[in-house]
Amino acid sequence: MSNQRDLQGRDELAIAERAAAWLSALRHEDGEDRRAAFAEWLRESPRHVEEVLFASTVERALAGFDAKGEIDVEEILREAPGNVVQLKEKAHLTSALSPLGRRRGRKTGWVVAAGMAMAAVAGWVAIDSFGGERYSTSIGEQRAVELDDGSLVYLNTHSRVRVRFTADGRDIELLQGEALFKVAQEAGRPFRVHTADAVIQALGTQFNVYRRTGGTIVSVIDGRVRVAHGRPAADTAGGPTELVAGEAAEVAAERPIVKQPAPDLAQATAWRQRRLVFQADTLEDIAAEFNRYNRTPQIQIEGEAARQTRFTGVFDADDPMSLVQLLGKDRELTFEERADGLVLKSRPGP
Amino acid sequence: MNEERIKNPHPSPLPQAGEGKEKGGFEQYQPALQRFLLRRLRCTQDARDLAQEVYLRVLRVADPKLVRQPLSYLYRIASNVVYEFHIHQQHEAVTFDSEAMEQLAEHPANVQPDEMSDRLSLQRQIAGVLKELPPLQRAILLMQKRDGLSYAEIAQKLSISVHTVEKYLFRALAVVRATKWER
Repeated sequence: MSNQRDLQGRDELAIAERAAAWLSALRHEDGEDRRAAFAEWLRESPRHVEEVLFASTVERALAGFDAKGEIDVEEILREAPGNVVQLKEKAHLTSALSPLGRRRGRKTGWVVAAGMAMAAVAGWVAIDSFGGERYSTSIGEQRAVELDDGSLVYLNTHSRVRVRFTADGRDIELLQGEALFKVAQEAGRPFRVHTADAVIQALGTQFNVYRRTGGTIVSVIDGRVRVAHGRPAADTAGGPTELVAGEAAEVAAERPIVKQPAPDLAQATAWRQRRLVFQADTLEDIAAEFNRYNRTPQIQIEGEAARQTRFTGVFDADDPMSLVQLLGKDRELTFEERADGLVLKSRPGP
Repeated sequence: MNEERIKNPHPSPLPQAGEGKEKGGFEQYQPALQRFLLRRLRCTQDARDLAQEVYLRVLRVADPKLVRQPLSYLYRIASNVVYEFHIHQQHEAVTFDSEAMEQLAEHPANVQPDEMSDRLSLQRQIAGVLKELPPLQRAILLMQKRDGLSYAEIAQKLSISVHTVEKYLFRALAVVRATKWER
């Protein structure tokens, strides 16, 4: 029995999942809009056609499976672990820790970055009059998009991209959020990702781009990319930088591009498994990450001490209550439920 | 092997307007299509070629027609393409026949030995694939596909959201599909 999936299989999984979701959606909520959206999706790629056919086949093959009911579901459920990995350690250090994790924000330069974002958007509005496909995800949603050239874009939650392909280049603007790119090699047609802060150019490679308020973080999984500032940058910003597989860098306006000393690429792409990984991250950043995936409940942190408390752990992105419940056990923290969400704060001292 | 079915593959017209709500019934279409795809669950060039040809034909279907019954169109077009493949390749060996599954249950003696072994092999493989799924995904898949529970029923039983049930179910189905199937 050889049931292992190869690497390619892993990448294809997203399309297979989408195909299964479409079959289910058409069965459960059949309607003109839905069918139109499905037809459009089918027309996007032969791979979509293939996966819908195979999804139907798999469902058919499963139809007669274990008809006698010999497999005991209750027994399987007893094997299932809770969906949260317990917090492994609580780091009591605060600012002494070096900023390793990509989830850490830099709050400096916020105003400048916002200005740059507007300038960049204005630039793209002009380009948009030439057209360009847009893809987006709502809060909690992820999707994979296969582009015309065979490249794959995995969009994380609450993200938007705009795609514009011409004979000379393949340009994608990450308008919001985060995406993982798997680039099909094509000589003479560079593949570029634009954010307000950065332009990332690649050939035959895989990389993750996370557009945050204070800057853009680029992590290279495979191959090589060239990272430059998004606009002609000030003298203080320095020039472009090349990143190879295993490297990550943060790009922010008016600052030199900073390579991260010890990037954790598994962490950078953990979102594809809808896992949130935190390594001595502040509660403020942790809450922001959960809020990115879940419209409700929105988690708020009150008080500077609570905001700066750091935690390490792995969570299911869809389950913010698991965070709240675990932190609720912490003697230094308390939480309350309000109409507008959940509030975590420091417990009043004795 | 049922040669008859391959030679006479109900070349009926594409679905017409007014046939009512799409049921998405894969079963009502060509057994030959199902057999073809089952044998090519392993990612083979044949499946790619099929998808490419079906895709090109889907692009040619007028938008309102496709939107009316997209799945029916897809299956029917694919059936026609498989039929044409068979004409080209004459006696393409088709060893899996989904209908014979029921025959096997009722009249085991009537089924060809190689068919029976294929059938058992498929069931064994599915059992193997399921074992590799995380327990929660496996349980959800069984509850939905074998026991016929609705998403809401499963969600309630497991105290998780319907969204999470769907997410795990689709993931499980995708993993089953992406498995390296043996012949």
